[in-house]
Amino acid sequence: MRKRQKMARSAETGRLDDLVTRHLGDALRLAIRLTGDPHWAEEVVQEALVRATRGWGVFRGEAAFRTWLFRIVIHVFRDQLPVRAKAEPLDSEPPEPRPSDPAQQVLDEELGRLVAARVSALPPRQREVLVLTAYEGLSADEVARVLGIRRANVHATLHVARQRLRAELAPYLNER
Amino acid sequence: MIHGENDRQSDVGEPADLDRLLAKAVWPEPEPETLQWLESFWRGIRSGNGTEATARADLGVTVVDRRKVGHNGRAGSRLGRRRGIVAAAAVAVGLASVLLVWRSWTPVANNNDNQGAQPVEVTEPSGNGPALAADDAREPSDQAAVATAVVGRPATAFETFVFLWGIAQQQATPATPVDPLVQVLAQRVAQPYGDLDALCRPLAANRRAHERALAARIAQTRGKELMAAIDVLGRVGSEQSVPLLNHLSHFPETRPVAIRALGRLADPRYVGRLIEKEPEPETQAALLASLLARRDSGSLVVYLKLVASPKTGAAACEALAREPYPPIDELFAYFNSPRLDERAAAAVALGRLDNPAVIDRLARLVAHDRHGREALMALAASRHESAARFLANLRRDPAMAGLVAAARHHVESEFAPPPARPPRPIEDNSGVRSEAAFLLAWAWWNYGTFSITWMCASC
Repeated sequence: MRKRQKMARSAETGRLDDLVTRHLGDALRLAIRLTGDPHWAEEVVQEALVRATRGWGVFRGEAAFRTWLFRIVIHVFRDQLPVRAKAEPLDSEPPEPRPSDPAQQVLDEELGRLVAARVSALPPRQREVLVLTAYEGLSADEVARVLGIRRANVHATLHVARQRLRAELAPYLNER
Repeated sequence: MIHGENDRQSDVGEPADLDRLLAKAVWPEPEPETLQWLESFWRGIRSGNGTEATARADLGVTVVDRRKVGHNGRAGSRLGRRRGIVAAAAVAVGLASVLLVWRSWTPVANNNDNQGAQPVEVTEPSGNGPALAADDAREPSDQAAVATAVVGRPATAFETFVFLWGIAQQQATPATPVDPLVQVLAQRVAQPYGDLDALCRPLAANRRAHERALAARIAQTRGKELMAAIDVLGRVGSEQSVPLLNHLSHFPETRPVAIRALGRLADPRYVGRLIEKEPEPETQAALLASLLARRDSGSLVVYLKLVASPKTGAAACEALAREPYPPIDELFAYFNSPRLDERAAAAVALGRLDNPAVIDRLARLVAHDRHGREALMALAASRHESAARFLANLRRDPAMAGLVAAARHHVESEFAPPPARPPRPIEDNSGVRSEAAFLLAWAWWNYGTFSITWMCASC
């Protein structure tokens, strides 16, 4: 009986290891998008891994493992936010949009980094909703489940986030 | 993509434009190195899970122990509760039966006719129970009498047996030795700035067990004891304690001690990142010192990266200068590195030491034309007077002037300037100066004495 329990436990452990290894990259990517800082993202994922080990016992498999891991990452991000928020404000104002020139690719990259910085500087809840929907490809229901809010709330928050981004990135939108 | 309901009513730009713009967002991709590190971190947690989970339980973090809880988190606990009830019932039944036996062994005379029973003549014991028990020189009959005295009535056979058995047990049990870990922790609490290496020497024998015990203790203690336990864990522990220390570093009160312990135990690359992110100069210096104290190649590579970084370069050079035994030979060995950045960082680190012996060695390298470029960079980075003099001499040679200028330019453009502190003097001349003054005074005294004597003699 004990042998069977042991075997079952080791099989479960192996399964968790597989799942974590498979989704580690996704979790780190999500953390980078939320924090905008790879070093901080690494800390967030580390803490999330510790929590995943502890929470694995109560994971019922109702949600996909990826969603479950994302939820942990988001919780850790929220916990660490008050400490970090004081330290690092956004470093610069957006640069003036430049006319197109041969180095368009370089400019695009610069613009990409700027947009990323703006997304990562949104208020936490708006950032979470936008990143999960726009960049992680989660549906409204999934986002609602991950964040523990209603579907209507997801839409409203997303709308506010987009309005805010639209105002901040207006020079680039008008240019087009 | 999900849109908000009122997106289309916006007057600035179309939603499709915003979507296109958002799609362009580029975040830094996770580095493979970071992923590898996280995987190894994950393996570390999995292997040290028990320790860590136990330690966190009392730190106010909810811990779910999977050994006690079933897969769904409920069945196991129910089983545990049932087992507890059964155990409690068994203990209750056992106690009741012992009581029954006790009552049944009491002498009939004592039960039925207490008035008729003559009290037994016994010598009055000189102390309480424990003192009697310790008195092992008594004969068994005496001990039975003492048992009677303790009970306050004629002792039954069973009571006498229990009494004698207790004494035998006490005599057989050797004195419990004091746990060396407890001793070490007590000493650390008493002397928080003492030599920790010497203090932890008694714990070297069984590090793994001590590490586990410390992790459990960290979860149970607070205040000075907690600080001492983290400090000792930094010396005694292994990489398995890194997750726990990492967790402790998030609490303001334990952060400095935990960070220092991490500096000794964590992977050098991780320590490097901690140093980069550390806002407190003192903690940063302590981390740098612990990195330098390791002296392995991995730590030195990280250290050289920190020297090359504009953010940490000055602090890294300062830490090397403060080191009582800096790894000079190891840094000279990096002059052979195939990587230019490592060679240059080693040169700057050596130059900023401002050590006369190192400058002499660098000058000899230039003279023998071995690693001349690195040696010139090191000399250019130095603020020592002899280095400046040597370079000034070299500049007179037109062939060398260009090389010296190039080395200086490389150092100034690529490396952070050293912190403003007065250059270390070549040697302390104050002693020489005071000796000269003494000799002069002595000569004047002799001259005066001699002249007075001569004048008196001539008179």
